[in-house]
Amino acid sequence: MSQQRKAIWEADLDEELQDVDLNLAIGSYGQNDLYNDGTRPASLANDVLNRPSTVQSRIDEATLVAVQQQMAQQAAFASIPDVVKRFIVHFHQAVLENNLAEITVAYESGWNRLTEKFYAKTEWPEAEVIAPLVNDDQIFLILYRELYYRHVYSRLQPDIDDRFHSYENSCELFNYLLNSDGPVPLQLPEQWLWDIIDEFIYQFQSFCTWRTKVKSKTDEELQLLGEGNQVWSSYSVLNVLYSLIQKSKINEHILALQEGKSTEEIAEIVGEYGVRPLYRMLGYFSIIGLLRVHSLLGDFTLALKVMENVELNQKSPFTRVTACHVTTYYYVGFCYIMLRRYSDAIRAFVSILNFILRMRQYHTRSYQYDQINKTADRMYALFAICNALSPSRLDDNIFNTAKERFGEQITKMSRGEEGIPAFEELFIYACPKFISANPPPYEDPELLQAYIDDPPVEPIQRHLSLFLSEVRAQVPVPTLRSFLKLYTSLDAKKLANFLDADEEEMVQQMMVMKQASRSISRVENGKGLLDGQTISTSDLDFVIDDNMVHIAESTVGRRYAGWFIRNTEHAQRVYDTIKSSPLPPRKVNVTQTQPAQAAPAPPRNAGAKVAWGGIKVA
Amino acid sequence: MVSASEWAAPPTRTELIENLVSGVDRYNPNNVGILEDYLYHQIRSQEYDCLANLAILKLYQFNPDLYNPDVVINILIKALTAYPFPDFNLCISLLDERPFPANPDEPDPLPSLLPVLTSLYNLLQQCRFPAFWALYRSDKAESLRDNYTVECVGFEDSVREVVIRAVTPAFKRIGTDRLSTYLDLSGDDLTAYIEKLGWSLDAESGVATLPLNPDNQIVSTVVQENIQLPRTLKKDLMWLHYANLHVRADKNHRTHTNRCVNGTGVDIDDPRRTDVVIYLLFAIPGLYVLQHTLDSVRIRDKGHQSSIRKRSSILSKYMRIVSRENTRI
Repeated sequence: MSQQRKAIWEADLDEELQDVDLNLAIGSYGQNDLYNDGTRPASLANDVLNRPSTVQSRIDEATLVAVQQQMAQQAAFASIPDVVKRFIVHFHQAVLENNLAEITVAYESGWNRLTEKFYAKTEWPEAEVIAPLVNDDQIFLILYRELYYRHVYSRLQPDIDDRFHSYENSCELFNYLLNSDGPVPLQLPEQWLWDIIDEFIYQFQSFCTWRTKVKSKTDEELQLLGEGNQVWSSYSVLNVLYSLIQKSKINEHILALQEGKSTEEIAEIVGEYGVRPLYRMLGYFSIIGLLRVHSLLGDFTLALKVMENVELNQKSPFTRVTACHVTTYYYVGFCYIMLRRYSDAIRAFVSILNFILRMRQYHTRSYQYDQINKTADRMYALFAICNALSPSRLDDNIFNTAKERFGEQITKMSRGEEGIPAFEELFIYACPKFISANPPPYEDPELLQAYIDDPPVEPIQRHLSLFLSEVRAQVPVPTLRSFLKLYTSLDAKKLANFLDADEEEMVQQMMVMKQASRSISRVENGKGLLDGQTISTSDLDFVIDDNMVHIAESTVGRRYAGWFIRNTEHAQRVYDTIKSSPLPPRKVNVTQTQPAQAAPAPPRNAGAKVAWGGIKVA
Repeated sequence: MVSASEWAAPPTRTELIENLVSGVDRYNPNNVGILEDYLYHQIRSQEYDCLANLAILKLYQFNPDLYNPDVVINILIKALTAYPFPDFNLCISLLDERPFPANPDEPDPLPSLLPVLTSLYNLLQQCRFPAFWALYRSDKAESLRDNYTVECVGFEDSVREVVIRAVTPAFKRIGTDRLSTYLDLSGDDLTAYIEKLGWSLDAESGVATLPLNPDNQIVSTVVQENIQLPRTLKKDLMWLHYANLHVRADKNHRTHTNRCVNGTGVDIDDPRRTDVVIYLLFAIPGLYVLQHTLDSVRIRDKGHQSSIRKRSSILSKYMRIVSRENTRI
């Protein structure tokens, strides 16, 4: 963006050079072999990061206003509050010095505080305006724009220019990271790196959703969309993610870790890029990004397949960024639902929801608290769905919370056909924001009109109806179950009478019930998330012996451990709080303990070190 | 039922296909021919590879101009008989709405066949096998039969395999009349099929007996929990455990109490800290039990359990008090 604008100013000085400058600007990072490291199919390379041709058409118009623009920029610069100017200078300094601690402070607190104070409802100053403050440092300006657009997306309504430019800026950033001579010396906090990938995909998803709404587009937007259909194309987004994964050799890295290789061996395996935290983390986050993009596009198998090497546990060194951790489990759980592996989905949700409960006290202060909570709520809804389809008693605590939030729907979902709207409601609330891979035919006005007249089914509706078809197949199960629970054996005809159903139909429903109580599920030592064995998921089992139904019920002994673990953790928290809270003011009449008053703190702090026998008892 | 590893990577998959399915080359539109050939190979030789077929649909999703309705229909036919794996729906998930209307010279057969295929799939999902055969043999499905499934070697047998996958876990013995409607076979064909399955047939009563399998033998069990504590958590709890033992040994003995509470770094003689002491007295018995429960000793004897319940209720009541106090602080 900045290069484009520079071309404008120069053109203003010397009209004739306009075209040349522009071509140079485009040529310098347009069609060359970006991202193409030889192994990639040609189509990917061609699709990538092509600068939209829209730039050209907007130049002339821009030239006319360039002078005013420059003046406006000076005015804009003057109007930036001093504290913001100081912040930007410090921030820049911290990035230059690769001072992670300072960058983190500026990123996590400074930026957000100043946003609240000055830019709650408007954009931050444009990168060109603050450029003089940072000596026109292009790398910093790219990072600054990353934040600038993220702010626009989260607080304001991004217009088409914002959407195109944020894409260009992301491309410039990834271009710099992937196509410099060797790894770049930049260092950024892990949280920021996650946010870069996360935001990149969010903006992609937001763009895809926005572009499908053809009716509300202005003529200018229609024209731009017709010309620039490589912007935010699925191929380019996937290409960035795959490139980061390959550059960082993150899959090899994870495998080496699992094989217990030494640090030196790993360094050798992952090469000059992979040893740097920046690339390593970007690589890992890109795997999670792929999981997400594939889920959004409806390819749930591939989504889990790209996670093949990632071990789902909380001990992995890659789980330090809570938001990433939560996202991972959300999408993994959701994919399992779509693969009809409800028990695996339940396991994923239970494990992450417990993690969120435990982490609550630490991340309440985080600026991502709201986001994590929202995702958690959606996971409770998904958990409720899974539990309705495959009742299990994996975790009563999570189940109770889900019941508090979605009690009404949970009751409805156990009522067969009547419950379908409840499934629908929860699914729509909790599912990812699905996208279509291809834009409406903006380049062809005739087709576009046909598109408007007969709009295709939205992706979310397609996935919803597929999900509901699975739910519908299982509709008779809850009723059958409630009858079977009452008997240890009974005649099929009799059961059919109770149900007021045809015997043959009822027997067919019994087979559905049997299949619903079996599921593919991950087992220990399984390789990858797609692997698994058939397990039984129901406590009620039956078999049909010609015309006799025999029933057996398994009971689960009362569970204590979870209760005690939770309460112990609670106890520990309460105790920690009491211990760290300041002592109330001492009452005057307590005089005997006066000598101890001088040092109330040391025994508390040093307490843990006191040997048992070493205390002198008065 | 089959294991998922075979589903994700069938042994019949060649290395070339494996590289396409697992690598980035799956996105290269130039490779669509290889995958399509592989699909037709599956059609001819009764093999099946879901992930490879999904890779074709992925390429169609990203490159609408590659779209070939015959290939899509064949993929769906193959996916139909993979039930109870959800392949059919996974394939439909990838069928984005066609952004371009079909070429009028070459009518697209998919829109008319998709509802038939979906109905057939729904019937399989609901184990309504007789209804499946009725629909499959009806006029509605004529074009599907004449143009597609006739080419798909062993299609009807693979539907029967779906039936057998549903019957095997649910039945110990099944009447041949019933089985006949499920399999759409009768007379000698049925007898031969039952024989091939290895089931024994009692000709007189007309009942087939299925061999035992893990799903058709039912047992009532009581599931007990058995949880291992991670080492670090155990270590964290150790001091509380010690404190607990001391408090329990003689609750009223100041010295011991003092000593154990000192281990926690709290000055017990300070009257302002009585809250902590009360808290420890009540909260820690829970921990004592926890140690025993979680050192993988299951709680078996009833007496022990009732005492735990009693303590639990005291403890939980106290927890509420403490947390209220706590918020006040």
